[in-house]
Amino acid sequence: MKTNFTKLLSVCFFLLLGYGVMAQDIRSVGETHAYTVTPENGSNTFAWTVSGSQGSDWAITAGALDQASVTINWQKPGTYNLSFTETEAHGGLNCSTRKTATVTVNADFDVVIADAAIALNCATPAATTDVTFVLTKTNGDNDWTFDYTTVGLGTELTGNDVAASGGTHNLVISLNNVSDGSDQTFKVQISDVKDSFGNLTVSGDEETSNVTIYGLPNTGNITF
Amino acid sequence: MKSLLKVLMIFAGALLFTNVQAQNSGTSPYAGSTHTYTITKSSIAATTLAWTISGGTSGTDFNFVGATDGTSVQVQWLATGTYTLQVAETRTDLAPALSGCPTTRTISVTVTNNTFDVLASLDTAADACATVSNPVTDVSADGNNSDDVFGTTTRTYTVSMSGGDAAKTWSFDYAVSDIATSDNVAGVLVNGVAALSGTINVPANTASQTITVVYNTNKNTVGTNGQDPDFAISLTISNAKDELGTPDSNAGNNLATYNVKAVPATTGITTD
Repeated sequence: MKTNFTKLLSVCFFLLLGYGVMAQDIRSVGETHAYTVTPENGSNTFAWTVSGSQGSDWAITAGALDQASVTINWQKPGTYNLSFTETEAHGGLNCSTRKTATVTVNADFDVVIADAAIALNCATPAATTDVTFVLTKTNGDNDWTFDYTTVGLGTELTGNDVAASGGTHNLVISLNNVSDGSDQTFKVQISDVKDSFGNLTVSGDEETSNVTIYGLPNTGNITF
Repeated sequence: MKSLLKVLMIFAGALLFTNVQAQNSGTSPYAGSTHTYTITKSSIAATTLAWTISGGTSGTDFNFVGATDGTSVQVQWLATGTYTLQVAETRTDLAPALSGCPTTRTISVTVTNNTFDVLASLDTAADACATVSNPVTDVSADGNNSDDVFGTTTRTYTVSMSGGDAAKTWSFDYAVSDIATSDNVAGVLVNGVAALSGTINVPANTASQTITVVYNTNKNTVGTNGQDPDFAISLTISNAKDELGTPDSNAGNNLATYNVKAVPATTGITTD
């Protein structure tokens, strides 16, 4: 009896030895990361806990909270406490070991819009001239939206909740060519840029440098 | 049935007219013709114009007549074929890298064989006697022909145009030969004018032009008693062209000749 009791105490002692070991993890918002432990015994029970709200602050994309590995998608900036508990049953006595880590999710979702590749260009002979602006996203969810407006045209071109996906998005402004061959100068402003988690960009509204589209001479048809 | 026939004839006539209108136009000119092409320049002040032709060689297939940097250009089409006439209006107020943001306008031009033909023809038989008003009155009853009137001899030619655009004016040079004013003092009249050569300008929508040669019979200053010789009165036309400069496509029918046989210059009857 003495021997068995001594052994049980020894096991609990070593399990408890791991309690209080802290880890620090820093992630970008929108990032997905796997957290894994090597359990003492696969037949033990496992339990992960994560502060914040599942479904709004974070989501599980692989594994499960009762498995040795869980993959978490961090959806909102903040500091989260991540905890893993392994419990071994010894008859009527459950002995647990808990490991914790602090995860800092940075508010680093951002989208910038680049100037047009050619700031000065000719209009096309078609009804419209397309000017492309490239938006580049860092961090945040894969899916995001933005509003835009041109500035400088007689009738501004706008868009709301324009859907984008991935790291880059080509915003094509189809400028209406004018019949009198006059030049048109404008820039593009983007605003209310947010990912599907509702995160706004750290840099806020953005705008490009001016683009000038030179009108083509409105030469009349050849007559004879 | 008669009404149907009339309708068909009107329809055929309309088609014929339409076809004539399409001849020798700016987009389907005859080889040899010169056409003017025009554009309206843009409202941009600082631009230049440049006319070019692709599909052929300058000097062989076409010639620009005059400047090629204006709102109008003249092109003389030389050889049959299909060409593209282009004008580019280019801005001069932009950075060189933009190449002037040019606007180009083009039309396709198909040059066809020239069928414009001007020909001379006789209105009456080629061989005939001069005209005499028989019996010839002996005016002074002295046997002298100098004041006797033998009459006038007239020969009429028709100069016709075919295969061209009837709506355009045309012209030609003419020359009457083997008869001279010195031979027939009282008159050689061509087209109402006493000239043996000259240029005749024919109005639009006029398919033919009459030339009449008139002379007083047996009033020859060289022959005895005014006796005319036999005349071969030839009308030669040259340099025929329409208002577009389209040349005569057939030089083989530009000569027409009357062989006028003289009538005797018999004197008045004298008696003892």
